[in-house]
Parts: sequence; C-alpha cells; structure tokens
Amino acid sequence: MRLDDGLEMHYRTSIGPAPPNPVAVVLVHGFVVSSRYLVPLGEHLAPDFRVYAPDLPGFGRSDKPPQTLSIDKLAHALAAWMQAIGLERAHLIGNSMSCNILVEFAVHHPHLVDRLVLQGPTTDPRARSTLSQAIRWLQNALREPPQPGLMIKDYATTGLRSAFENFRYLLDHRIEERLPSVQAPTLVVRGTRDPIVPQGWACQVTTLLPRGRLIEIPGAAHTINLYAPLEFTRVLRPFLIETTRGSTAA
Amino acid sequence: MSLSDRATAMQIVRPLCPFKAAAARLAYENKRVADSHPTWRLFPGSRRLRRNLPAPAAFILSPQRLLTRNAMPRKLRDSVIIITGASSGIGRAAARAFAQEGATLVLAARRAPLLDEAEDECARLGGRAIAVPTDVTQPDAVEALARRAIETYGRIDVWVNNAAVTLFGRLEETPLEDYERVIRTNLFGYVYGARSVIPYFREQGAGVLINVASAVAAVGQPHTSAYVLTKWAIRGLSECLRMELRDAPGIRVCTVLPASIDTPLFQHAANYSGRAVQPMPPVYPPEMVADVIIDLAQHPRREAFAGLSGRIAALGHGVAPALVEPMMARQVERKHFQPLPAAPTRGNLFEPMGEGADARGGWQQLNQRQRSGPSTTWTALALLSIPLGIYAWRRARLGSR
Repeated sequence: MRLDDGLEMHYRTSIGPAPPNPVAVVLVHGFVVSSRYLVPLGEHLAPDFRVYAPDLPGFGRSDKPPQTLSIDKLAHALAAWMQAIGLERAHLIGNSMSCNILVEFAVHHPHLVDRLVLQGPTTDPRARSTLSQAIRWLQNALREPPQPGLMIKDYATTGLRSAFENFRYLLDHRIEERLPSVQAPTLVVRGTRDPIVPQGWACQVTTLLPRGRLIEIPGAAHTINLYAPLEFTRVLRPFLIETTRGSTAA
Repeated sequence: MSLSDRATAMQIVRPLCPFKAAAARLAYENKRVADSHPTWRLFPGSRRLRRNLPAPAAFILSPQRLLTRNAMPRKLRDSVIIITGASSGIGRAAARAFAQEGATLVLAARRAPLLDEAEDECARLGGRAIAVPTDVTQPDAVEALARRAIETYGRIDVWVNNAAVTLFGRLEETPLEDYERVIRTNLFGYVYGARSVIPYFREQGAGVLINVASAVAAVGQPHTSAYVLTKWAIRGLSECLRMELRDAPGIRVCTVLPASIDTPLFQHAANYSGRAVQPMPPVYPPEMVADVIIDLAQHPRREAFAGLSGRIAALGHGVAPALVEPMMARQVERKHFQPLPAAPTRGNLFEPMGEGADARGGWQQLNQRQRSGPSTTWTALALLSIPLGIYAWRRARLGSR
C-alpha cells in the first residue's frame, strides 16, 4: 500500500508532565468520527502515559485520500504515521470500527504493538447487514446522550460518500478470521448496555484471541471513551501498567 | 499514582493545554510538524470548559451534565454495589435483593466457600457478582477490595458497610481482647470501608455509602455494650461524613437502623454471660432490611429504621430516656436470653464459624412457638404511650404557664 506523498495526518498528543520514560498509548478513533471524541479518555490517561490520538486519512483534520481507504489500508497508514513520528512501540486502544483496523494492524505490524485494547469491537457476524446494523446503532443512540456539535462536524468532514464506503468496508471485514493471528495481549472492553456489541459476540472475540481478556463496564454503552472515560481508564490502567512492568523485567 | 498526584498533574498541565493538535507529514522517511490546532478547547465534552462557562452556556453545550447533577442515582442494573459481610445474614439477603434487580455485586466476607456460593446465587438471580474474601479488620484488605471492584468494573456506586460481630456479657466480665475485637470489626471495619471508597466517590462525583448500624444506636442495652457502642459510633461516623461531604453533593451517606433481625449473628456471638442468647422479640426477617437498603441505594436519606419496634424504642428514648432505660434493661434480661446455660465462647470474633451460613438464623420460627399473650408490637406501643403521655402532659403544663 502506498499513500500519495504529501498527504498529511493530524494527531493530538498529551504534553506536560508525564512520568519518566512514559509509555506511549495510541488512541484510534472509530467510524466517521475523529480524534476529538478521544480527548476525554486522553485527558484521563495523560498523567500516566504519553498519549497520541491521530486522525486517520479521510477523517477529522487529516487530508483526504483520493479514494476511501479500506480497513487494511487504514492500518498501514497508521503504521506509516507511527514511523513518521518516530514511535517504535505503543499500546493501541480502539473503539468500534478502529478495532477492526487495530486487529489488521496487529497482524501486519506485530513489532509495533505492545498491548491492544479493543473497546466494542465490530461487527457481530450475526448482524452483518446494513439493516440490523442501522437498528443497533439507533438503539445505541438512544442510550447515549447526543453530542450534536461533535458529531455533525465530524460527519460533515468525512462526507456522506466516504462514510458509506467506509461502512461497506466495515461490513465486508471478517474480523473473526483475523483474531486468532493477533499475538499481542489484548483486553476486550464492552459496556453492558452496548447493543452493537452483544455479550455473546464480545465473549467470542475474547475466545478467538490467543491472549484475550474481557472486561464489562456496567451501565456503559458503545462509546465508552466519550461517555465513561473515568471507568474506562480505571480498568485500562492495571492492564497497561502490567505490561510496562513486564517489559522492564524482561 | 495516587489520586491527589493525578490531580496536581492535571493542574500543572492546565495552563499549558494538555492536548496539542499537530500534523505529521505522512511521508515514509520525512517527518515534520506542520501546524498546531488547540481544537480541544472547542470540544463540548471537556470538563474544564464546562467548569469555566456560565451555567446557560454549559447547558447548551452539554445539557446531560446539568440534568444529572442532582438527579437520582443510577439505575440498579447499571450500578456496582459492594457489600461487606455478604456471606450470611443481612448482607446475604441484601446481595440477593440487589441481584434480583440485575445489579453488579462485589461480595466481601471472611468465609470464601460461602462467598462463592453467594456469587453463584447472585448470577442465578439475574445479577453478576464477584467474591472477594476480605477480613474487614485489615485496612489493606479493605483497600484491596475497593481497588478490585474499580479494576474489574470501573466504578463503585454503592458501598454497604455491613460486616459485624457481637459479644454478650457484662463489661467487666468480658475479656478485653474480645471487646477490642468487636470494636475493631464493627467500627474500624466501617472506617476502613469509608476511607477506601470516598476517594473513588469523589473522583466520580457520586456514590452512596450505606452504614448498617442498629436500632440500639438510639437506645442502649445491657450485656452487649461492645456491640451497642460501636453502633452509636457508626451513627456518629455517618453524621460526620455527611457534613464532610457537603462539598460533594453527589455523594450520600445513609445509616440503617434495623431492629431485632433473624440472622445468624446470635449463633456467631461471643458469649460470656453464662446464658444462651437469642434475638429480642419482635424478630423481623433480614429481607426486610435488604428492602430498606435497596430503597436507600436509590433514594438516599440520612437514616432509615427497619422494623417498627426499633423506631418505637428510639422515639421513646428521645422523649423520655430516663423512663425507657429501665424498661429496656428489664426487657433485655427477660427476652434476650434463652432459659438455657451456655459455656463461654469467642464465637466468630477471631475465626469465622462453619454454622450460620444463610441469610436467616432460624429465630423467627423459634419465637413463634414461644410466643403467648398479646403481640410484642402491641406491648411496645402500649409501653410507648407512657413516655409520650408524660411528654404531652409536660408540654401542656409548660404552655399553660
């Protein structure tokens, strides 16, 4: 995969006092939105980690590629971005669609991944159709307070056509076939009120992963990083810090 | 990193702006930061922004925050509830009741096998639960319990301080070691619980701390001074905490004052009185206290009685303490003991016991068999009318002056 030269990717990063030798954490945004909705989670992680949140090509403030990128092309773009800013290794955290990207990323670029967090991985094979997905997303919208300012801007930036193409790519991506090849220790996080990722599917994802673990946050729905960043951080921190200790020992 | 450290870290960051949006040129070997956008400032979800804005603007940007600030606590099925002393008695009954509402439970007690049993029971009843064997006399263990809940579920909505032991015998006839142990478990157990959970509540801006005291936190009793004084202290602790937490209106502290409850507490009691003990009638089922606890979790109040006899006794004591004291003393001598001798025992003070493994202790059936004459509630009501009458008479006399 090769992106046209000159394409720019924006990212947000934490500055200010991080602990000595901070561990890098990369937050990757989901379907049609941008790194803006990762800011609450980033704020909570910033005191303990060096946080990065890129906008993938075609989303947010990053440049638009001439054609909408598929899931694995987005994964390659993410790897290229990591190399461009000089990140050798990081924990990666994804929400929703970015879990598919991160799974591809972990399969193709295992050396860049420390630990993986899949929050609300899509798409449940039992609901792999436009209609059932639409129903589930609507259900979720009723369970999470709307953030119109945030959503309209990101949806407008992405554009209807590429949003639709993204959605097609997402439906075509068979994450369950790729999960067994993920080598990194992975934490699957699910909100108990998430209609898009039912409990059965979250369990299936965890079992398919060679080193998977599942955590369910009571009362949360699909976008935990935005609506329950404190709870998310509390379950994340021990998982991410565990590795840091492990790698220092090794 | 402790919570206070985190807070300072965030504050130092504040003037510098914690998030810098920048652009990296996406060329495989070439890296360059093109420009920076402090767009996080415009992000409606930013707490800092909301704090600094006048209320109407904050409302437009994030109405849900303003609406939920003083609203009811979360629904039970979305809540995480910690119960200490959950292996038997009131704790076990409360765990069942919360599980039936679909809540997420963290069960703590010393007896691990029973706790596992309770965990399965909760899952069967429609909740989810984890068992964390804990001795509440160990501050580190209580802290670990809170941390375990946070790391497993991300939050704590309700903390029920409930684990308690009791000791029968006159003050000068009970070993000091046992006496101290009762205070350590009943009072310090609650103190450790409150200390462990309040920092998390503050971080969340919400939470309900429920301290299960007793109706004897309002009236004294002979032969159980260790138990009674811890219960009075717990009532005081709750009151102090409510005052300390006035700056955090989302955090509520409640005290439950149950009357005589049919639990294994009396099988577990340490006893140096020489007589076998039993709960003083009227005895109420533990499920009734569980209902009060559930109600408090959803609609927190300062104090809630469970059982009419306790309310009556407390009322009488408030109106005419000098009259109620000898009445209570006589009642305890006659009704709190069985007509059987008993060898001295340390009960479950230092080591948990095998027996008494359910919510109920089996006292209600026993009392029904023994009972004769008018119902005890009516007796209590009749007794209450004396101090109330005196009170009314005094008021009337004062008014006529």
